[in-house]
Amino acid sequence: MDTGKFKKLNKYHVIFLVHCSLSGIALFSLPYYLRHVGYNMWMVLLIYGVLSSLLLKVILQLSKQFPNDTFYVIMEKVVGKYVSKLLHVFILSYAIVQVSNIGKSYVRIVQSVTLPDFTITFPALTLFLVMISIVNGGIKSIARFCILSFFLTVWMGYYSNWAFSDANVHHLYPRLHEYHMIDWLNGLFEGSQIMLGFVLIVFFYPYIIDQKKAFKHAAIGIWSGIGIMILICIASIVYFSIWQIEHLLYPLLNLFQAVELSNVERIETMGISLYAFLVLSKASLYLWVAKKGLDALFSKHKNRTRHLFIVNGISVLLVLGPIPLIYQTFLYEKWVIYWGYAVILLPLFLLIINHWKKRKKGNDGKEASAS
Amino acid sequence: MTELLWKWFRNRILNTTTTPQQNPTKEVPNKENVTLESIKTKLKDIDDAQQKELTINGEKVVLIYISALVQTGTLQDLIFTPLNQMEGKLPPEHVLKNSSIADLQDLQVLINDIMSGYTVLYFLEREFVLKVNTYSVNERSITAPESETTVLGPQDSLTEAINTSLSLIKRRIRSANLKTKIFQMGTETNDTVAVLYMDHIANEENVQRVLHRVKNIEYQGFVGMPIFKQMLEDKPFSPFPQHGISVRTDYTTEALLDGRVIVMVDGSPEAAILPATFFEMFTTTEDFYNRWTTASLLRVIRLGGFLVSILLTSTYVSVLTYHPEMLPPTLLLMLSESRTQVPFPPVLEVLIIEMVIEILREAGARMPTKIGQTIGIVGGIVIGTAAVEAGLSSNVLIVLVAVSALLSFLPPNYLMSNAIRLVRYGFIIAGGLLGMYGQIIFFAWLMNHLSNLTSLGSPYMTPFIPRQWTDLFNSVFRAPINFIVTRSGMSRAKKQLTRPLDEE
Repeated sequence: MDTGKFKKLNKYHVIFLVHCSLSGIALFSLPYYLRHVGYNMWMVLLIYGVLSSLLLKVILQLSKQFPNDTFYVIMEKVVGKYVSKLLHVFILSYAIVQVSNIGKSYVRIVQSVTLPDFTITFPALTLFLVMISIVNGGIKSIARFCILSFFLTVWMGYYSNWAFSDANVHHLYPRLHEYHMIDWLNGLFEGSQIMLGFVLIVFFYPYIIDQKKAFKHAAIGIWSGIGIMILICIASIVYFSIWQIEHLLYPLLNLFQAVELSNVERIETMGISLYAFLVLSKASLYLWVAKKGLDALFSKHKNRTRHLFIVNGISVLLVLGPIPLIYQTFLYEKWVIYWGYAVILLPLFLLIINHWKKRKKGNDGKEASAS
Repeated sequence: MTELLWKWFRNRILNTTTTPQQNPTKEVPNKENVTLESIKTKLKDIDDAQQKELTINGEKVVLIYISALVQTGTLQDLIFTPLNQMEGKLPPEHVLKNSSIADLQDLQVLINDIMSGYTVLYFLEREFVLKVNTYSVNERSITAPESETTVLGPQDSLTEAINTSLSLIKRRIRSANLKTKIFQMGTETNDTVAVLYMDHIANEENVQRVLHRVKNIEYQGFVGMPIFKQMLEDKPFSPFPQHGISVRTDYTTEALLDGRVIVMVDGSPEAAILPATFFEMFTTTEDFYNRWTTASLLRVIRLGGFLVSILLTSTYVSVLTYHPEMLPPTLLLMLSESRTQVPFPPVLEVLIIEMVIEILREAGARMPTKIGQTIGIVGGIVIGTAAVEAGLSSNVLIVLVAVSALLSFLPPNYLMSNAIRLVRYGFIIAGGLLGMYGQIIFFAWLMNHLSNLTSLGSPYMTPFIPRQWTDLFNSVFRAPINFIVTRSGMSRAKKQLTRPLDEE
């Protein structure tokens, strides 16, 4: 009975919120994003895991200093009212673009595979309507949905069985000598969009009940996500040739197509549809962040349902609106990654500024007491 | 969204009807003094209100009662015989041991008592009033629970008479820890409402929440417990019942021992169980009468049946409309052949047949039992066969609809069964609009809705959203009885263990 309680996220909520913030629609193209390193892609994921855990440790240092404040409030406290407003707009825009990016990418796959006779309008509208109902229940509603999503979709991992039955395990041997540093950096850059989500913990940190163990629980979420990604990558590595890895845009779809069941064919239709759960959980988390941003900007952090409709409406417009393809490509494939890097680095900058401010305050205090 | 709808509706009603100040639903009259004239005025035009003049110890007394609520034999036993056997000049209040002296300052209370079966003796010379509880009406006897039958276990059920129902519970829990709070509810009906809980087990917050909600309900009257129960729910807009409801004495007793709060209304045989979970709508007490293996199997069937029931016919629609490539060629060929003469798209075909089944069910439920059975059989066989032969439906669909209709009746809770049937239409339409993607999107909405529902503020989806790990021993899998040692997490009981575990 935690209605009205501020701290409402238990350890399971934290684990699955972080887990679901990682995967999402990018999982469909993960082996494609990591194609630059060929069959070494599973090692890139391990690097992601280590980097994310280290960054998480540092990011949470900031949250620990403001245990009852969301990231938006922390910004106000650290950099002041006016600069923080600019940063609010920056994060709010990033969250909205992410929601659109996730929604649009997913709906396009749905349209191309399961509903080829439809435009994306109606499927997109239904997706965003369900998103509203999830976010309307608050962060705990999203956390519960993340848990449900995980258990309703994780069983699909069983279908990798068919890929492994035709496996060439020699592909798994590390081939470090075949790739240059630039290939590794390209792979790390393109694939990083699947790992950017964990930073959202700074937004729901004040709602966590056991904040002392937040790092541990979030790290479990990160590594469970990495585990699933490694499973997908290994299935792709052993099943596909190098040429296929370099040219298949949605390798996960092709893995689905390898499935042979006696009573159902084209299992990818069901797989893609069921994937809506993972898409909804990740997009809802970003939508919640965007909504909180609007709350911070226009209602002094007070909860306003209309803000949810506004950010959702803007996201829908970005998906369905008449935006030239060149801008869309630029926005969704390039900018959003740089944007994500900036959002990840922002807590680090705030941590440094806050440290500097504290130090300055301490020195001023000493000088005042000395005089 | 629902709050906005409710606000609009409330304002609309307030604007289009008289204001509460002009026509209050609950009249709060000033206290009026009790006189014979005022009683007669209040009882005017009530033809079964009886008034008899007697002389007791030389003093004129007027006897007032409602003949519909008081049997002559009771009147004789409790009033006339003691008065006839009275010796000497003993005051009547000493002779009538069950009597109490009425408050002459509050006419409304006295009138309420008369209307509840009390007999009033008005002593004219002394301006003194005695009242005796002579309520005696014919009540339905205790019978087997027709709507919640079990093969094993007790075969008695709660009745419309709240005292009988209370006695059925209290004869099972002979403990002073079983507390009973009685309220008079309903501005017009003055119903008796009882709230029961185990003082040393039930969560204090739960008890206070129920008492608070009960006290704050203002309504003209409750013709049945299901109405009262809806007013106690957290989210009245949801199609799903958020509290348990049962006429079974064993189920109610078990709930009390688990730390739940029970609410009963006089005139309705059901007991509301608060809080309750979604999963409990699929369980019966018979799960504990059966062996754990059988009980687990039955629970899997009931929950699996729920999923199949909501998804079966909608999958038929989505696969045939949008994803025929999902079917193996032989199955696709068979379905295509069976649909060759059907002129409707699959979604319309399914909706027609589902409606026919729904109509048959409703007709069977409203008709006398024997005719209802006949209608069910005749309708099922004749209409089904005729629909296929006439080319209105494929024979495969008849099988699917029949199976999903049967599965929807698996949950022991009737309200859940109804909710499942309603939700199924949502899936069919979603499947018809957007195929499998539509089904999943609707399923996502449903899961989100269910996970946000609460019963008395606790998650409705417990133990799927676990409150404590021991809940898993009494979930889809029902563990052997020696593993059931803790009360459910949903109850948040004061005492967690049901039996000591630290004994040698």
